[in-house]
Amino acid sequence: MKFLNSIIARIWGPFGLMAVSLLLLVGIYIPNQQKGTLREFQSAELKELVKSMAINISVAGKYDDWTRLTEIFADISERPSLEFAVLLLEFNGKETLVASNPPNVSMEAVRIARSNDLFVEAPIEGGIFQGKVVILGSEAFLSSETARLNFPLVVAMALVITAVILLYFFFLRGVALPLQAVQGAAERIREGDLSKPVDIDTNIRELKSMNMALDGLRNGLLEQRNTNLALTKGMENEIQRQTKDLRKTLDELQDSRNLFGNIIESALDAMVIADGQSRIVEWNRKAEQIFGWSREEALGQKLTKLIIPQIHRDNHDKGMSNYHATGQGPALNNLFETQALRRDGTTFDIELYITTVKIGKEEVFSSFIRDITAAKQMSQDLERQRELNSALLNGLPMLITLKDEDLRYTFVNDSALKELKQNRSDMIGKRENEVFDTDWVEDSMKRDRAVWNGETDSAEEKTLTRGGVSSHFLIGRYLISVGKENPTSYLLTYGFDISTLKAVQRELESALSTKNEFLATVSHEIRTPLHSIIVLSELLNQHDRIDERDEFSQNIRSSSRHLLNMVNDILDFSKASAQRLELAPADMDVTEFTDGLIRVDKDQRSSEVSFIKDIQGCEGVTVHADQTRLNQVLQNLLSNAFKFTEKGEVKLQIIGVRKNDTFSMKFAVSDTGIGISNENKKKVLNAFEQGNSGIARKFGGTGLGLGIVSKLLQLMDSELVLESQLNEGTTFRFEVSFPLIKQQASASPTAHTGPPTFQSIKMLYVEDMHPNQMVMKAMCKPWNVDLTIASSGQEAIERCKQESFDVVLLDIQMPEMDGIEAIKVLQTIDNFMDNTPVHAFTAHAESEDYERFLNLGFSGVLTKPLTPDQLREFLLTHLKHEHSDRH
Amino acid sequence: MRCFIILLALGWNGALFAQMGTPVGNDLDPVPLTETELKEIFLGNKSIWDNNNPVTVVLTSSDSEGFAKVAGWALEAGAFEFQKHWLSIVFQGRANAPVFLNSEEEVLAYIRGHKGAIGLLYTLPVPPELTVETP
Repeated sequence: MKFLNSIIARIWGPFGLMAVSLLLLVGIYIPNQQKGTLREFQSAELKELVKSMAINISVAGKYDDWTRLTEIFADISERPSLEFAVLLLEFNGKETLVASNPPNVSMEAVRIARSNDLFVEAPIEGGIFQGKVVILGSEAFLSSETARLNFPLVVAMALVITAVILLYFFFLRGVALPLQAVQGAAERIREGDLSKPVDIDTNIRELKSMNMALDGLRNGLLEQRNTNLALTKGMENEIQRQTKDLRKTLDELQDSRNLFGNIIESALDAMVIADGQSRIVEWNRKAEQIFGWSREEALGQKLTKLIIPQIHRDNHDKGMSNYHATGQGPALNNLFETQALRRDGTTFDIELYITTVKIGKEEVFSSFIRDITAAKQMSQDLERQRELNSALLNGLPMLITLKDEDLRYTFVNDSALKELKQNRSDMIGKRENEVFDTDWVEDSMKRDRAVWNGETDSAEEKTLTRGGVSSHFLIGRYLISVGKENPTSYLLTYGFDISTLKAVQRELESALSTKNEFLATVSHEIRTPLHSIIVLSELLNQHDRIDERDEFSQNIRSSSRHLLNMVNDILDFSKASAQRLELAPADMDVTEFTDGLIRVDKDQRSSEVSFIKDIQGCEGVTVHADQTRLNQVLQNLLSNAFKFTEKGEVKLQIIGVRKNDTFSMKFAVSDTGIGISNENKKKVLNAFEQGNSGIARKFGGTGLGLGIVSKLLQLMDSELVLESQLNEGTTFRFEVSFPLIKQQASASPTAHTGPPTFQSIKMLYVEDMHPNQMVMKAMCKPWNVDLTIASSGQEAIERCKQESFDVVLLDIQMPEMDGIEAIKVLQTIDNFMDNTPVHAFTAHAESEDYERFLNLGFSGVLTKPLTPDQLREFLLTHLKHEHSDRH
Repeated sequence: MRCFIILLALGWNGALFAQMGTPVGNDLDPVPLTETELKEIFLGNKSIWDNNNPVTVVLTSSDSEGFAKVAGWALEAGAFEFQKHWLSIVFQGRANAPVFLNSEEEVLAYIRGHKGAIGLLYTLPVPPELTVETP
């Protein structure tokens, strides 16, 4: 290829130029010249032809002489130099293609051919033929004619070029190629390629000399090369050996560096190395984590700027200056705690160890830094937890000690020290028998050992006496373990001071005993009147004892009232205990109240006990007070006075004094009875208790009376005062102040009216219990009350729809429809409730029941049992209303 | 009068007088010739007879009445159109140019002297030797 390129390069120049010149001359210039000549010739010939055609056509048209036309036009068809001939005639001023040769030449082709120089035309003017003949010379004919004329020239040129090429190749083979070989051999030698000998095939003498010279040069160089190769080989071996040693050293160095780097990077502590100017030169991964600066950010920075807090920077600078001056640094080679600065500006606790390392002439400072924030926090938490545990154990109101396996105290809480009256230092590390010299120590240590040996200890009660004061303790033991992996066991001993519990227990036992006695008393007190009631009721039916009927009735009535009073006492005390006892104050005429106070035992006691009333300053006074409860207080006190007085007197003294808007009343109930010993004075005011149990048996009663009196007086902001001498008598005093309503100079005499009659009252009594129906009938019979009885709520409603009543007594608790449902229905009857008062008649005697019934629409409440006097009073009230209404 | 004028106007148009004259010829082959064949001959569509004599159409001058008649019969057009037709086909080399003579007498004389010549007579009687048989 190279050879060919060389050849082409050499022959292309002159030969190519010559060949191109010849080709241009023969192929383009000469043919063009000939073609131009032929074109001119042809154009002239065509002009002659068209002119002849036009003349002959003109003659034919003008003279009808068509003799030349056939010849001319037949010749047209056979002329190769003619592209076409066209006959154009004018008709009415318009040119029309009449005929063409060859046929099918269009006017468009004629128009296009007009620009061609071979296009010629000639006018026709002959008779009716006016127009022109047009012909176009053939380019193809012109070209073929040109080619035909040039053919000999082209052949001659081809022959010349062939001859030149042949000559050149002959020259090339003889001279150029050997020279090329010489040049190639010289270039190979220059490039160091001595592998091939120089051997040029030539017959030229000069070239043969050059061949020999080059070959000699090659041999010399070859010899020199072999020498150099031997030398080079030796040097290469030496270099390889040294390179190997060097690489090994470098590898070892790299390993060492890697090891050092890995140690630094994987260190659990931050490692910061700084130079003598406190500039950071090494900064490991842990340092990045602790301080928040990356290695790239930290390197080159000053320690004081990056990680030393402001308050420590002066000390650091002074320390460095001192070290540079003296070579001494107190912070060096010592582990100490200080603070460091994070990237976010916060400081934290660290453990720091600094050492110096000399690298060449440079001395660097290696710092090993450990973040001890968490450790410190944990330590503080542990300390806090320990303090909390200690405070908890010391603050517990119980004795707690811990002993080790040798039964030596390891912990004693404050309560134990206080109760045992010991100092902690006197107990810790010692056994019980080394601290205490008491009889229980031996038993206690025996129990301790048993628990250590795995036995279960049941808590024991133990009485400890210190300084003459005994305390009761509940002592228990059990083993506890502390720690997970290597647990340490301790014997925990606890002791509860149960002295208070013991006292409470005794009190409870005493109260229980009292209550049992009370129940026995109540049972007795209930059975006794019930016995009288039952027996005497049966005796009433015996006709042979009619003479004793009044006495029996009186006794039954007395027993019943006694029973009722007892029930009321129990209820009141129950209310008082539940803090549900309430006062219901209303306007109270004091004179009327005191007049109503009578001896309550007149039918039980003999006339050996007189009753004296001393009322002072109470006339004409009306106060706002709960008359019922005040009466209850005085009746209780009077009852007691009469109960415990065999003979002598019972005196009631009431002294009223006005104090501005209030009226103070001092009460004193005194008797000449058995009196109360000092020992029993406290007990008598307690519920259930009388002076002694024999009293109850002797005098009867539940023992609730004074308890209820005390409670009621508390409600009245007063207090019962007891004065008594055994066997001489007792006085109960109290003072109560009431809001004053009015005070008149003298009391007006009470107008007494005769016994009322109730014939004008029509009453409906609704009651499901037949005995109660009979009682009501019996009570109303003497007064001629117009009484209607309904046995159910439904029947009552029907009655009320049919007729009108002056008053309705409605039992609450009834089957099917109770009183509450019944009044709801009654309220729906037009105008019924407006004209007819409906009273609840119930055994529900609580005050909240009263309010509930009134809120439901009842006009009032009557409580069972209802005495004839109470019924009479009730009916009298309605008789007054009836009369006033009628008037 | 109106009809006369119309007829006069139409009379200048040979097409209305599409009547073949009496054919005359010299040594024609084949014969007899039908009118259609005669029309083809006078339209220049036949250039040589079967006996190799060239077909030479002989006509009276282009401005003669006979020429117009031949045009009306053969081309069903006027004299100018017939003349243009012949110029066109001669120009294309498809036919030999017709021979125009001044009278029917010259026509008869020319046919008599040229074999293969053929003409139409409208006025002169046809000599027996030049008669062209028609079916």
